[in-house]
Amino acid sequence: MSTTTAAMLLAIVDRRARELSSSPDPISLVQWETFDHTVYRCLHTLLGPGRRLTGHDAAAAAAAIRAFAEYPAPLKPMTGELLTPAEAARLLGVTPYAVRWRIESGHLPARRMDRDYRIVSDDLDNRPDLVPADPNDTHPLARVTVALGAMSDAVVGHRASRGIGLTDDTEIAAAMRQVLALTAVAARHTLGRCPIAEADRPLAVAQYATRAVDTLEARTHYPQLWAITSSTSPAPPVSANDRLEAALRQWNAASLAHLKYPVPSTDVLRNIANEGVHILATTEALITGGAVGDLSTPFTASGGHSLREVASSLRAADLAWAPFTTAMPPSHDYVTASRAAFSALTEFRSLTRTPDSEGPPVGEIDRARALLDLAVAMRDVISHLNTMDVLSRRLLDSQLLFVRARNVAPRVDLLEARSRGQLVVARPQDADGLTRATRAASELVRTVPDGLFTLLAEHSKSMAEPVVGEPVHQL
Amino acid sequence: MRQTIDWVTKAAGSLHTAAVHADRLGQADLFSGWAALADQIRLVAAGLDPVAVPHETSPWPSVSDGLTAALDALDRVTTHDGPTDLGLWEWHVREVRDLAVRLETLP
Repeated sequence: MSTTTAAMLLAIVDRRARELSSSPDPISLVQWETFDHTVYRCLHTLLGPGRRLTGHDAAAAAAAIRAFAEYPAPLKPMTGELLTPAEAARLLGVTPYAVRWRIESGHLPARRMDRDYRIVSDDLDNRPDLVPADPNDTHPLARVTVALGAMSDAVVGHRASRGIGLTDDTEIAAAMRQVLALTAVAARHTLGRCPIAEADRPLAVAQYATRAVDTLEARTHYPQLWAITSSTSPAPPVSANDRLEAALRQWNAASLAHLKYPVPSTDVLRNIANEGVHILATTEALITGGAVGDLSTPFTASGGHSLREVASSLRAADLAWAPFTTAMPPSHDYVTASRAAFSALTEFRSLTRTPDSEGPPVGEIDRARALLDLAVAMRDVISHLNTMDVLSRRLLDSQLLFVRARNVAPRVDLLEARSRGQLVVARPQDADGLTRATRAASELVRTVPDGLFTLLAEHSKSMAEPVVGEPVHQL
Repeated sequence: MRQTIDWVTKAAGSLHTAAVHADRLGQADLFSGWAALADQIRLVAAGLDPVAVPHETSPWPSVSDGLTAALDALDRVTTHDGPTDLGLWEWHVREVRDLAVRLETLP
């Protein structure tokens, strides 16, 4: 298994498109059409389905929507979309009137919505032969297509899991610009290497892409795309990097599952905060270990907080939860996953030791890849802390959170319970510190992934080909 | 049955005590491996008894000895009297003891 980000995939696409220019190999119609549709899908994905103008950066949004709308009649519609007759007409290369006629004469299925017709895009798919690029195809254009498709998959996956796609209009427009720029390069290259009879489409796309690039603003950094991660299919972990990534993912999945329990174990909640501390410890070891590479610059999370300050806030959250219990045991799955994460993090820390220090020698570890995995794990911790905040209130409201009587302010009605060391139902006022500490930790932890993503972005140019296999993408 | 519960609670108490011991070895260093191990031990202890009260002083010379004491206590639980997943918790204790031994042997 390996993790990459949408921004890294975009960098790969860009690099491969440049390599394409020096390739003398002819380009087949299948290779071109797969690329053509993958570009369309990528633009559609970046923009998001049903994208409308928003108030953030209206000019950038309008330019992006216009650029997408002007794409030469797409070879194949996106699946599962509801299209207006005008949109369907564009795909079919006919007038909207003709589309309505087909619907009303029963030749095209449609449904009524908002006093107009809506056509399911799948009903317009007359190119079922267009399939994703073959990941084993070594042709440079196929390699561009595969990487571009993988980037789109990452964005689609992100939207599916988080319920929200890219929201920064300026960034969307800039990413579309970069995709269109390399599309123009690939289309022009294809023009010289395809049969004349098949040159119409690359010509139209080359002209369109060149024109559209000028309408969109450039940007060199993509914070949102950096934050979108993607994993290739799991493979047995063989390296320390593989083991770290697999263990962190397993731990995150187990955390998510446990946090969905109606009454979770408070020991799991404490452990989540502490696992965050361990992740930060490993991050610090990686950055300051001086093993190899050029990531040894002093690192502070955005906002100027040191990793230890952030870790202190997590430990404070752990201690704030300590007096409370739901009297529920942790799940075996979580305990196993947490221990695996502990082992992987400990192993990685030992591998970051300098050659001068005792212990195992510096192994073949990919520090940038590990930092990316740790940044992603910290982002998971933020999400879990937010869930813990909601959970604390829910458990208090439901009177399912208990506290040792001696841990709350003395009250007459608790005298006996205090003397016997009994548990009593926690009241909201008993848990003020709990809520405060959890929120404070969440706020501070939030600064870490951003800082790490920025650090990685700054060093991405000096990185070797980012760690990504040849992910199979969908059309 | 009463005796069985006592042994399980005793094992959880031993684990908590071993966790306190590990915390002390961490010498209040947030990034110490011992502090992280202490939390792993607490997690397993909570599996055996989520409301067990930790003892502050450890009678054992090492963390792994405390974990061995927990295993000894679990060994005394009669097969059909303990929690149905006792075997799995015992496995968790063994695993965490292996981690403690590994940490103890580090220079």
